[in-house]
Amino acid sequence: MSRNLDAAQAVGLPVAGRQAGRRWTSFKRAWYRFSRQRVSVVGLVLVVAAIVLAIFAPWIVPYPEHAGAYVDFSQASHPPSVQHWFGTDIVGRDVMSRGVFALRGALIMAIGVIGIVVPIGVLWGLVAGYNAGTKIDTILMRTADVFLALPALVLALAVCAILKPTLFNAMLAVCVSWWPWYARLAYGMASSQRNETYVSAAQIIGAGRGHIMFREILPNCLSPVFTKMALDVGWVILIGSALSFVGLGEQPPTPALGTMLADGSKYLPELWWLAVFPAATIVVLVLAFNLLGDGIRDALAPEEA
Amino acid sequence: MSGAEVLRIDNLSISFRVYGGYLRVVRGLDLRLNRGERVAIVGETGCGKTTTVKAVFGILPRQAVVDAGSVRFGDVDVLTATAAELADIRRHRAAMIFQDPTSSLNPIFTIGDQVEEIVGVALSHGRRSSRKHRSLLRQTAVRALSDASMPDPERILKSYPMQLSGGMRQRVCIAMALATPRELLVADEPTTNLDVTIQDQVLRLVKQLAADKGTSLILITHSLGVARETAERIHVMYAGTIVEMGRTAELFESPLHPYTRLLLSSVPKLTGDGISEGIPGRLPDYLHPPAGCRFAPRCPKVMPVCEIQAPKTVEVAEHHHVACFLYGGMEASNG
Amino acid sequence: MGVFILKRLGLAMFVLVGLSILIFIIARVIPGDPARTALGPHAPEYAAQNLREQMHLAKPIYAQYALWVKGVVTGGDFGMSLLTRRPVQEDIKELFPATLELVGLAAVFMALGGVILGVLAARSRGTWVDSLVRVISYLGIATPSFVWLIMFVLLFGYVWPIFPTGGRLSGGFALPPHITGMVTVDSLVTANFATFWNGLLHLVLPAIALALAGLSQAARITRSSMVDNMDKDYIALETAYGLSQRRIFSKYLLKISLIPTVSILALDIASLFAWAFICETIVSYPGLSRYGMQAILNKDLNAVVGTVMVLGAVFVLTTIVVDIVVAMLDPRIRLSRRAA
Repeated sequence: MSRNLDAAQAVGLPVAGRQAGRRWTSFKRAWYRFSRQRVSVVGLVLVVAAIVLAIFAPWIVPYPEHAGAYVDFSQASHPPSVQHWFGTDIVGRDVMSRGVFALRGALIMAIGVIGIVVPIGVLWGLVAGYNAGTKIDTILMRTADVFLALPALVLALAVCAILKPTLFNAMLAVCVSWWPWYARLAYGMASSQRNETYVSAAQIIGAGRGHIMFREILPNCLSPVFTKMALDVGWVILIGSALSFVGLGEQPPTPALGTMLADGSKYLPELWWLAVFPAATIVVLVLAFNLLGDGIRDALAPEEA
Repeated sequence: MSGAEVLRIDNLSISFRVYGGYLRVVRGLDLRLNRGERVAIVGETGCGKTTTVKAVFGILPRQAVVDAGSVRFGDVDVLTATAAELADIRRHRAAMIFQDPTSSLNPIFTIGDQVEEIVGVALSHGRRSSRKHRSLLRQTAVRALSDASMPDPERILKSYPMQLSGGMRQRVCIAMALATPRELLVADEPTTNLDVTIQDQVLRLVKQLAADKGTSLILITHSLGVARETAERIHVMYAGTIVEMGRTAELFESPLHPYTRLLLSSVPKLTGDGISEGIPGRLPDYLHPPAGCRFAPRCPKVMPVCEIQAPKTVEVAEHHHVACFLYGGMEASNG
Repeated sequence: MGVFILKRLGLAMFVLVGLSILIFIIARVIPGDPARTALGPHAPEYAAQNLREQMHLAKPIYAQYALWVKGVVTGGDFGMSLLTRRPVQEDIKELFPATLELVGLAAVFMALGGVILGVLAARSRGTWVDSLVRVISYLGIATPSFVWLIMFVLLFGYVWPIFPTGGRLSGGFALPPHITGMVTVDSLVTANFATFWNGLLHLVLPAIALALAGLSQAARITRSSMVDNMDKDYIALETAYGLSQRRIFSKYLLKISLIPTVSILALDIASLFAWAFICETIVSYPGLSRYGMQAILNKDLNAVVGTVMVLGAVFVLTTIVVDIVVAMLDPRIRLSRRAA
C-alpha cells in the first residue's frame, strides 16, 4: 500500500505526510489567534502554574511536612499572616501548603481520567462513525447510550462507597460514565466526514480502513476533542471535589480540596480562612481550565465577536 | 426631482470599520434608475455591488459607515430617512432578492409562514388573526407563487425550505419580492448559486415579472452575458466605483473603459481564438487603496496621471458614461 | 412524529435495561459480605445466614439479576432497605416528590435565568452588559453547587436570616394533604398559603445553588447561538422587508436560537439530581437524593440500586422529552429522519 501512497503523492493527492507540514503552519496560526485573547492566555498561565505547583510541591511549598500527619497546637487556628499566607487549621497545619498538595490529587485525577477516556472514547466513536448505518454502528453506539445514562457524579459516589474510597476508584468510576461523551463526539464527526471527497480519494488509491480512520479522518476531528478535553478537566476536578467533600475521595491525612472545604465549613464564619481558600482554589482551578478550553475553541474555529 | 426617477445615487462612499483601519469599499458611486427600467450592475466578487444596494434598504452591517453622498429613493433621502419612511420603503416600495436562496429562508418556518408574513406587512396590517385577513394573506401568497410559475402553490406553502430544490427556493424568494406591487426590485446575483439549466428560467422569470408589474429592476451580476440578456443599461463596476455605464447594445459594440474591454474579451466565444487569459492582478487592498484610479495597477493603458488622480465621470455620448482619463475627466477628482 | 416518539421510547427501554444490568453488577460485585455489613459484627450468625438467603446471595449472579428484575417488574419491588428497614420502593415513593420539587424549581431558575441572561448578552453584545454576563457565567460554571450553597446558607441563613437553613418546613407547619407529595403544589391546591410560602422559602437557597451552573451554561449557549443567527441572511432579509425588529426578534430569531439551549438544558437538569445528593445533605432536605447519599455511605445496596435506577429512568425520560421538544422546534430534525 505504501507504493500507492507514493503514487498518490506523485500525482499531488493530499497524503498524511504532506499534511504534517501544513499542520504545523495551522498550529502556528491557531496559536496566534489564541494568544490574542487575554482571557485565554490568563487561563493557560494559571493552568501551567497549577501544574508546576503540583509537580514541584514538596520543594516549593513553605511547610511540606504539613501535608501529612502533622500536629502543632501552638500554631492552631491562626488567621492569614506573613508566615502562613492562608492561615492554619485547627491542628496547626499550614493551609496553603496543604492546598498546593491537594492540587496534586485533583490534577492527577483529572488528567488521568481524561487520558484514559479520550483514547477509548474517540476510538470507539471513530469506528462506529466510519461504519455509520451498519450493525457495528448500532451495537457500538447503543452501548455507549447505556453508559451515558449513568450520572457521573452518582456513579462515582456509589463506586467509591461500595469499593474502597481511594483516588483510583474515583477515577475508575468517572471513567466508566465519561467515555461515551467522546464516543459521541467522534461519532458525529466521523460519520459526517465519511462522505467527504478526501475519504473517497483515499479509498480509491487503496488505503486501508485503519489508514483512513487514523490518518485522514481523525486529524479533522481533533479540534472539538481538544476543546472538550480542556473543559472536561475542569468538570472532573469539580466531581473530584464533590467526592472528597462527602468523604469519598482521598482519605486523611492526604489533603484534598473538597475535604478541606467540608472540614472548614464547620467553623464558619469565625475561622473563615479554612473554608474560603479551598473553595477559592477549586473555583480558580476550574475557571482556568474553562478559560483555556474556550481559548482553544476560539483559536481552532474562529468566530466573529 | 423628475417623477419618473425611482432611484438616484450621488457620489456615494461607504467604508467598513475593521481592526486596523477602514476598508474604503465604495467610492464616488453614481447611479440613476427610472421607472420601468431594467439596469444591471456588473462587477467581480468583492467590488462593492451588494454593499451599494444594501444602502438603499438601510441594511448595511454595523461596521459600515457612509462617508459621503446621497441615496434618494423617489422623494425620500434614504440615508437621513425617518423610521417611518424607511419602513415605508421596505414594506411597500422596494424589495430585494439575495444571492443564496438557501440562507434567505428561515429553515424552521414554513414557506407559507414567511411569505404571508411579508405580504401581511406589505398590506400594512401585520398578522391579525381575523379569519378574513388570514385568508386574504393566503390568497395573495398563492397568487404570488403561481405568478412565479410554481406548480401546486398550496403544497409549497405548507412545506419547509429544506424540502424544496434550490431553483424552487429562488422562485419563492422572487414570488415574495413581487407578491405586492413594488417600485423597485433588486436582484443580487439571483442565479449564481443555481444549476446552469435553471439559471435561464429564473432570469426570464425575473425579467418578465418585473415587466408585468411595472417594477423597475436592478440586477447585480458578475456575468456580462446575464446582464446582456436582461438589462437595458449596464453599469460596469470596479473596486467600488462605476467605471462605465451605457446602453446594452452600445456597451457591447463599443466598450470604452479598459476594464470593460478586458471583461468582454475574457468571455469565451464559440467563434474566435479560444479562451483568453483573463485579467492579471487582483482587486486593490481596500485598507490602503491606491491614490488614483483604482484600476491603474491592472490597466494595460495606464498613464502617469492615472496613479495620481481618480478620473471623473465623463459623458461620452448620450447615456454612455465612462470614468477614465483616456476620455477626459482631468478636472478635480472625486475622493 | 408518532413514529419518532415510539423509536425514542424503544431506545429508552433498551438503555434502561442495560443500565439495570450495569448497576446490578456493580452493586453485587463487591468485596465483603453485604448481609454481615447490614447486621453489624455482633449479630448472631444464623441471622446473617437468614439474611443471606433472603438476598439470594448464594445463587449465581444472573439468577440474582433475574429474580431482581422479576421483583421490579411485577411489583416494583426493589427489595428492602437495610437502613430504614422498609421496602425501598416505599422510601422512593415518599421521598421522590421532595427531590422533584427541588429539582423542578432549580430547573425553572436555570431555564428562565439562562435564557434571559443569554438574550440580554446577545442584544447588548460588545458592551459592558455582555462582559458582565460573561463573567457571571464563568463563575457560575466554575463554582460547584455545594460551595454556592454553603455561601448562601451562611449569608442568607445566618448573617441576614432571611431564609431558613434546613429541612423542608419549619417547625409548626404540617405537611399538606398528600396529592402529589410536593409541598408547594399540594398546599397551593388546598389553599394553604402559609404552608406554601414556608415550603417555598426552604427551597429557594438550594434551588438557586443547584441552578447556577446550568444557568451559566444556558446563558452562554443562548448568547452565542443568538449572535450566530443574528447575522444570518434570512434575518437581514426580514429587516429588508420592513418587519419590526421586535417581531423578528420574538418570533424568528428566538425560536431558532433556543434549539441548542434546550438540548443543553436537558443534560443539566438531569445532572441536577446528582448534585442534589450533596446539596440535600447539606441542608438536611428530606429528598430522594439525600436518601441515596445515605444509602451510599452506609452500603445499603438495594437502596442504592433503586435510587440509581430511578435517577437513570428520569435522565432517560428527560432526554426523550427534550428530543421531542427539539424536534417540535426544528422541523429539519423531523424531516431528515423520515428521509433517512
